[in-house]
Amino acid sequence: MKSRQPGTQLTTLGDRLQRVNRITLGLALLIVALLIIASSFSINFLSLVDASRIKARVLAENASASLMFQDAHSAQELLQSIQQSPDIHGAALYDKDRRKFADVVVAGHSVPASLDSLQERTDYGWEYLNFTQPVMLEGESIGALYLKVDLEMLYMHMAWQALGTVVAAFLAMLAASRLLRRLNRSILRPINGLSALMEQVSEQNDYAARAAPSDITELNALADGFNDMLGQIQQRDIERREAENKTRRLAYFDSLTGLPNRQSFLERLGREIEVAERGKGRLAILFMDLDGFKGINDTMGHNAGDLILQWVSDRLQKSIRPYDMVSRLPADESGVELARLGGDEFTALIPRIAQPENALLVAHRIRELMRRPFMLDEREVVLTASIGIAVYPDDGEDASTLLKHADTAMYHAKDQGRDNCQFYSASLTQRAQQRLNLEGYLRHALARNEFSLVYQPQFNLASGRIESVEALIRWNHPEQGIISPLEFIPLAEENGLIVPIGEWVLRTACTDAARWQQAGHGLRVAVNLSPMQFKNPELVATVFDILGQTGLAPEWLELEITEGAVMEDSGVTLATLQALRLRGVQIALDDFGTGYSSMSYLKRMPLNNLKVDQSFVKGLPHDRDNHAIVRAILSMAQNLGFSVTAEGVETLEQAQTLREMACDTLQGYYFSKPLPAVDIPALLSRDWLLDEPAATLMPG
Amino acid sequence: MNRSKLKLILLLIICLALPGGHAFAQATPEYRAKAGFLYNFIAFTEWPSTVGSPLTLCVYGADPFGDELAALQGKSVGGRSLATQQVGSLEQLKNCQVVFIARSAINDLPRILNALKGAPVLTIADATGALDAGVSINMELRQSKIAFEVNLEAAHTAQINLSSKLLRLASRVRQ
Repeated sequence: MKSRQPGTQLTTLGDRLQRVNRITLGLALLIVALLIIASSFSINFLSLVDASRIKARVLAENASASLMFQDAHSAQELLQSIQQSPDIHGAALYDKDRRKFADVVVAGHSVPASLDSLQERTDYGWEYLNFTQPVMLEGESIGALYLKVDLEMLYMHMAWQALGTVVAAFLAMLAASRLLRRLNRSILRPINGLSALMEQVSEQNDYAARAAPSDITELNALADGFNDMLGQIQQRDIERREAENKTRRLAYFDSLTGLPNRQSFLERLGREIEVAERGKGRLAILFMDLDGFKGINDTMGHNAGDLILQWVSDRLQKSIRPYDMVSRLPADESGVELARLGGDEFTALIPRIAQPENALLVAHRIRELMRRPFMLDEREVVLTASIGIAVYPDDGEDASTLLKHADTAMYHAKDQGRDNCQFYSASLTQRAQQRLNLEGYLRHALARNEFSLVYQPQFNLASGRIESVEALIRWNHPEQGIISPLEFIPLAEENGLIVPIGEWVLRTACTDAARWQQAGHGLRVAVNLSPMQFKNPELVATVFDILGQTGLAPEWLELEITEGAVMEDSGVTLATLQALRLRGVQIALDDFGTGYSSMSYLKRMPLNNLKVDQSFVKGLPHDRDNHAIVRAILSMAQNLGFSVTAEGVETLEQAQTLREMACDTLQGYYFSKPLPAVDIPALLSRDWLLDEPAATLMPG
Repeated sequence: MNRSKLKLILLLIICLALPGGHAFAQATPEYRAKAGFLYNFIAFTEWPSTVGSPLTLCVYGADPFGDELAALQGKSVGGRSLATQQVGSLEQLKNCQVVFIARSAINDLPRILNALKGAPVLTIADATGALDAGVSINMELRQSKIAFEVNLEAAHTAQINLSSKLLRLASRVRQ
């Protein structure tokens, strides 16, 4: 913005004005001062001349008698009067013959002895003015008066006056300069304001700024012009933005439905893939095609078709609204973006899905909404949707591949008989469908009494008897048979069913244990708590309610918790554990060694029992690493005052080794597989011989 | 003062040395100077406007000026021409505006003044005591120098105005 010719000195407007003002003022004052001095000099000079001439005339007039009577004495007296005038340094009277008749002269000066002429004349000199005034009587010159006027007084006077004038001019200049500076400022302020405004506008592109009006006409006109210009620029800026927005809408949005178009969808997909890649997450895209839409277009016209497409768009948007969803994990589906690729093809992008079946849920919801009839010209039109699903990164790692595979999956769905959803990979379709089905069953399993408990005995090495059992859940599905807890427990944890299921397990285990006790078998029962149960603030109350209801003493119950659950929230965890321990409930840490237990942490936890994970037991006695680990765990537990249970004991050798290492309790198939409650009492009376050679020993 | 005296002596010597135009009308240097004075007095005197031209200068008694007065004849003064006349009787004084009373007729002074009473006439004499007797201007010789004294009352009575310039030169002014 700032440009200037090379070589020119850049000054402010204020400085320039000030300089011009000073020069103008100086010149004007100089001229005025000179004029004053000159006019004053001429006035003073002329008045001196006039006064002197009058004086000469008066003297000449009065001298006539003296001359006539040749009275030098009276002439002398007359001339004495000049001494009252300091300017006059000499006066003389000359007779008819031009000879000096009388004179009065200031010391150091002189008058001529005779005159050349009696004519009236004035001689102008640099130092003196000489007046010759004839003395007239009866129209004749009877002599002349001569007056010598010294100019020194005049010069002195003039010098003082000039000095005064110069000083006055200087003071006037000073005062005017100050006044002008103030005036300049009042003019410059609005100009500087405009300049600052321009800078602001050019730096911030703020075309909404406006210049304030000024009380100076020209500046006001300038400000008005500037504001007009800004207004026009602003108007153009708005128009340009609107045009850009329109272009952008055209480029990125479908004009019929207002949904993003293919281009927009692909860009968004690309961005979400990057996010998923960084977070090691998953995302899914749904590719939807309306079944039989072509027929509607052909039979009812394109306008009807367009109307249908708009309604479909509305329904799609409704289907992805979080509050409309019967979702298990709404967070997974937030940020679903729809798009219309063209024709009757729509897509939905679901970022951050935990499981592929979550995408399937959205697809099902869409299908349900599409199945409702559309009212067109009082006719019911029923449309269905075929949806293909592609999952990142399983089905492709870039946007176009994913879209292509979702398209393929959609055709696959159409082949399956329309109104269908298909994943791109068949295994995913199957697995996702299974999990969905499983979840559906799980919701009813408790009510249908499909769960049961089995108990795996735990062998106490010190007593050589079974003294406790671990309760394990079984799900006997009427169609699919036994379903492993490994399959449905994570699902139950995911959808929160674990809480009622866990409570049922606890209640059932306590009931069984109480029944055993009544039959004379003192058996402690160990029940697993999932992290979700453990976090439930009702846990302690629930446990003691159940114990009270079943009549089981707390010390006969052992709760197994995982390292993860304990580590998660130390304060609440510690309080919960202490509440349980205080009443005598035993606490065991399950799967010890697989998590990230901190040793200092273990020390503070009110635990009774450590359960060594079966992976460590498996390699015994030959795996030296596992050997060392188990020995270390046992040594540590002994020091901390915990008992130790080894899981997954399958051979006599393992049992013997663990006995040698002073393990407290053993559990595993070597002793017994998990058994229904009714089969447990039969085991209790059995003797277990661990001293026999491994090859010959057989469980009794 | 000494210088003035010398000048006058010098003037007198010059006058004596000058060859006379008319042998019988030769005036003394004193009267030659007094004749000049007469003119000067007239020049510094104003008459009432009723007085016309010519202005007649009359010498009463024996004329001591010789032909000096003839030089004044016709001379212009104050816009009027000057005329001279010798008078011997009181009747003749009627035409005079200036009357010089010669010493020879000084005894007639009271009568003359009486005759001129109220008339605009400048009376001049050169006799001791003449001023107090009632002439307007009286000339005298002081230290060989001609001086004059003025009687303002007399002038005032005669309705004539003597110039202040003249009064300044007077040796005595009688109010």
